[in-house]
Order: sequence, then structure tokens, then C-alpha cells
Amino acid sequence: MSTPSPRLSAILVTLGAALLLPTIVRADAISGPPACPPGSRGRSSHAGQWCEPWTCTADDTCGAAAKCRPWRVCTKASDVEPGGMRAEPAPPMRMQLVVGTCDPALGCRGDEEPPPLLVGKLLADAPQCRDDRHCVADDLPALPPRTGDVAAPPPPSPSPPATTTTGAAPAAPPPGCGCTSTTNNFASLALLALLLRRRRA
Amino acid sequence: MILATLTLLAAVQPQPALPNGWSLTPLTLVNAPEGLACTATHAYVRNWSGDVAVWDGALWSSLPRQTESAYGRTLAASPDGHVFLEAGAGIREWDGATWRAHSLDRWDGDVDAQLIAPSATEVYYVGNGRIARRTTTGFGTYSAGTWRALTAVALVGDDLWVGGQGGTILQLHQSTWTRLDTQIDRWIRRILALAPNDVWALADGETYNRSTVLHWTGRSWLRSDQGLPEDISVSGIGGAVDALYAVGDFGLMRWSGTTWQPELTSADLGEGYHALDEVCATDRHILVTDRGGHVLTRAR
Repeated sequence: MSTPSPRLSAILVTLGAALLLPTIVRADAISGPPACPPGSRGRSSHAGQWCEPWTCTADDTCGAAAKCRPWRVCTKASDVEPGGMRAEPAPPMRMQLVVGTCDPALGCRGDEEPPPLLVGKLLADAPQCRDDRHCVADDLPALPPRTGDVAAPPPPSPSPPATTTTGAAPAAPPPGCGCTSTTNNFASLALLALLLRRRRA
Repeated sequence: MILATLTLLAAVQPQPALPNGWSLTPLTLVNAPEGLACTATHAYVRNWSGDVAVWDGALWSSLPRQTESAYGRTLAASPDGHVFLEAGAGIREWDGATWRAHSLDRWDGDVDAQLIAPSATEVYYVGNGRIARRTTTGFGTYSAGTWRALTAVALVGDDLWVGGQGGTILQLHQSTWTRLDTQIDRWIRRILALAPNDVWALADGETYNRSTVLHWTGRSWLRSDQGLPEDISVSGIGGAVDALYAVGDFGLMRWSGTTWQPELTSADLGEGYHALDEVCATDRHILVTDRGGHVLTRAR
């Protein structure tokens, strides 16, 4: 029996790896951070998507499109399994998920409207609300009346946002970015496109 | 020789007739259709990268291919034939002669959000807590009265309605946004306005493989999914006041006024069938696209 040549060995190893890899490599996919109410920001992992409180001490920690201001943020506890592929099942982690927010003057309880996206198994307890300084996104301009041609909207105002309710809240900050202004994130878009295609397949 | 003759005969055989006057045609100009839109006279189909085919009521043709892809699912067409595509974080417009790219300032949103174009100068698109509207110079970004992720928009009379996460449907009436009670907290994917007292919403169902259909009769939202399959979701709703359809892996169902009734099943469509995805109506026809590159048509 003769020994295979180095070139043939390399080809065999490559072919073997190509055949074997699909059985040991698994695809990985995480959705992007969700839209979140003012005073919170989006997070995502293998476990899912949720909103977490976005506390702050100064405007410069909120990025260019949000201000640090008093805001009420209501949360509920949830037991979240980490998700993803693991050798051993991991125990659930208890997390505080945002279920509602408002201007402190409105005194919301966190159960007035359906919550943002949640993850894990929510505990039955009532929401816990906390008045603190949070990053709150600046207001977008109001939509002009329909009549006639519409002029371009004004640039963003540097002044603090007006008081809002949960039903007419300022737009959410860029999800998950923490401290940067809104940008076109091509990588996220490409990932989203891939996920969308996979979902529809 | 015999084989060649049989092959030729097979090639010219008309496709078997489908029930209820429907006909099935391969759509060769656009691969893997994603979105469908109708005006009174024309229908438009796009794919993921932004290729667009146009139907004039008799024949299909292609719009010129864009130099850069416009990734997305949705499109809208104005009555004068302008076509608007969601394109990543922007809008791509066919103005009848050329493609134009419109950027969206301060945009934050996902693809697969509804676009509407009641005219070429009045166009809307929705994202996370915001709505884009055509301006004299391009598109502006405005508050949509909520922070939620939005995927649906419709013009109901003179009012703008938006829909999205958390069972949200908001009505903009005289500069004030008001949340309507949908009685569900699941995601509103599409809104279809046939008349101010005849508005439909397609929402997620209680489970991943179900959908919820809501009907606005002028005063409130009523759940109207009687007759729909309980284990197959609805991909799209569309049509006209007198011909409203829901489509999906189950085929095509028509609203009778009280319940959804089968009009075409997957068995009717036969071999080569792909899941039906979108439906819309011109003044004279109903069109349905599937994900495999076919179009169903029927005279109204």
C-alpha cells in the first residue's frame, strides 16, 4: 500500500473538512435592538429583544439626539434564559425590563399601554416605577397639514423637549447605540436583510 | 420525431383553467417577487434588490434597471405612474424617466414597512416612531406620535393612520395623534383603507403561525378573521370594497361580508405552486403574486 502524496492528502483533508463542517458549525443570528420608549434603550442577544432603563448624569452621555432629564421609567422583572448554543443549559437570569415610561408629572404606572418587546418569563408583580434622570430623545417636528406642497422640516431643535405623554412621546433614541447620533448602519441593515430573507424562506 | 412533436404540443398547451376565473402566469421579468402595488390602471411588482415589472392591464414590461440596488420589500405607485421603493434607509423613486434616490434624515427603521403614494407629491413611509413625507425638496422626517416601531400607514379620508408594535394604530386628525383601541397588543403589519368606514388591518396572531385581521367600520375595530385557517398565517390582504382577499400558504380567500371563504386552494394551484404573498386591485383586475415568480389575475 503506497502513501498518498502531500498534494492528495491536502485535497482529502480539505474535502473532509468541507463535508464535516456543516455538521459542527451552526448559524448564528441575533435580531437588532428594538424601538424603545423615551428614557430607555434597546438591547438584543440570543435571548431576544428588550428595553432597559437609560439612566444618565449629563446630556453628553445621551448622544446628540437626546437629553438627560427627569423621567419616569417603569420596569418588570423577567427570568431570561440566555439563549444560544451551549454545552449545558444555563440558569435563567433575572432582568428588569422596561414596560412603560412617561414624564414624571404624569405619574404613569407602566401598565397603561402594551409594553415594548419583552423577553423571558415575566413575573406577576406589578411594574416598579422610578423617577430619575434618563436619556430622552429630542422631539421630531410635527407633521404639517396635508394641504399644498410640504416644505422641508426644520433642523433639530437644541432646546429640551416639551412635556409628553406615553401616547405622544418623542421618538426613540437610536436603538442600542448608546451615545451616537442616528446614522445609516449598513452592517445592521445587511444583517436585517439576511434575517428577513431567512424568515421568509 | 414523436418525442419532439409531444414536446411541442406540451409547450403550447394552455395552462389548466383555475376556479373562479383566475389564471396563473409566470412572471419572468422579476425573480422572487417581494412587493405588489396597484393603481387604477397598472400593477407593479418589485423584488428584493429593486427590479420592477409593470403590468398595463394586458402586458408586462420592466422599468429600467437601477445602477445601485434598492433593498427592501415594499413599494407604492401614484396614480400618474411614479413608483416609490423602500431602499434600505431611503426611498427610490421612478419618475417616469429616471430613478432618483431620496435620503431620509434622522431615519431609524426597518425594511418591510408600508409606503403609500396618494399622489406623486404626497408620499408616506414609516419607521421607528417616525413618518417620512415627501416635501418640495425631497423627504422630511416627522414625529408619528409614538416611539413604537411602525410598519403600516394608510390615508383614511383626510386622516393619516399608522400601525405597528403593541397593537398600535394611531390616527392623525387635525394635527393631533390619537391611539385607537384595537383590543390587541400584537404587531399591526399592514393597514388597508378602502373607505373611511371600511379599513382593514393585518396583525400577528396569538401564535407564530396565525394572523389576526381587524376591520374598522367607522366607529371601532372588530376582529374579522372568521374562516381563516387557524394554523397558517396570512401574508397579505388587499383588493377592493367588493373584492377583498387574504392570501398565504393556504391559497386565496375572499371576504363574503361575514366570513373568509376559500377561492383558490393550494391544491387548485397545482404543481409549481408557491406561497401566495400579496394581493391588490386595479379598476378592472385583481392581482396576486407568489414568492416563486408567478402572478394570478382575475377580471373584477
